[in-house]
Amino acid sequence: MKKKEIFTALIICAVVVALASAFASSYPDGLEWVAGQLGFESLAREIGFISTPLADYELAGVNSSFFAGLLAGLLGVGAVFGSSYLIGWWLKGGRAHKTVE
Amino acid sequence: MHIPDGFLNVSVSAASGALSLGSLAVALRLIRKRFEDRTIPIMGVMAAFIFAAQMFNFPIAGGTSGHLLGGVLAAVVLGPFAASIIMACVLIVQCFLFQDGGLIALGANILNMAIVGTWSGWFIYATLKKLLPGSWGWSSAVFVGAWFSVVIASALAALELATSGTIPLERVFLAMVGIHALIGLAEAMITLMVLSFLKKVKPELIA
Repeated sequence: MKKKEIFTALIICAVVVALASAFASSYPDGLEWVAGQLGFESLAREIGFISTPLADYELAGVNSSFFAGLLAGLLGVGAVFGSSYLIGWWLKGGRAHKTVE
Repeated sequence: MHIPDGFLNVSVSAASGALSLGSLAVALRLIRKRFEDRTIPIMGVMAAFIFAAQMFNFPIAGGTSGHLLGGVLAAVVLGPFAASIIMACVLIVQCFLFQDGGLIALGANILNMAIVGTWSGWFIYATLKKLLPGSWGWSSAVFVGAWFSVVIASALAALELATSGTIPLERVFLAMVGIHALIGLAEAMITLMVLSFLKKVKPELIA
């Protein structure tokens, strides 16, 4: 992938995050729905860690829920891109590579 | 389908965690053998896309929502082993930064979605692709593989819930598999749409 293609792909990811922040359904997902129907929903709990500033895909301290979701999502895209890229780089033995195909 | 903490008991969490770690270690060894430079940015971009797409919950039926998992999408482009690595990476970031999916349940979530769902879905895709000719065959292979990846992951989640003593298997199994059979249709459609798009704009990505 060329640098330009990586950049374009990340822009597409940002657009998906923006659309998700605006339009994502807040209905329970499949597992939550089943847990609710069968009555074991209340067993869910948070174990041993303090609420992170990105909990539930909303950046803490941002009032608008669209922007809280957008910013949290963009940080997540960055974190996932960066960590996966690093794993790839580590798999290659840590050598620098060129982004031309 | 991210299992929160409190749904699984200690032994199920520990066993699925150990299986996940073992499988990821095997995956890392296998991809290291023939790893190409060009894979690195594709891994990063694919993981970023899957994370973004997983944020997009769409309504399914009767007040339920679903989102893409992306295991087969990643596996068709990157192969099953690199796909499970980036799926695990997405799940780890979701768990630690976004508190989506439990900390103790992380091993089970990786096992269901990154390992078993991804590998079984890819296996079904690869088998059907060999059996069915042409681009229609390829599309069917993608569709069916993606559908099964979600349904198989949900069946495994049901087994884990039942083994943990949270809910009897006969009550949870059909409920989980049933709702995810619907969510899997959306998974299949989105996976096919994205892969067909990639095949058009960057055919060398899809072997």
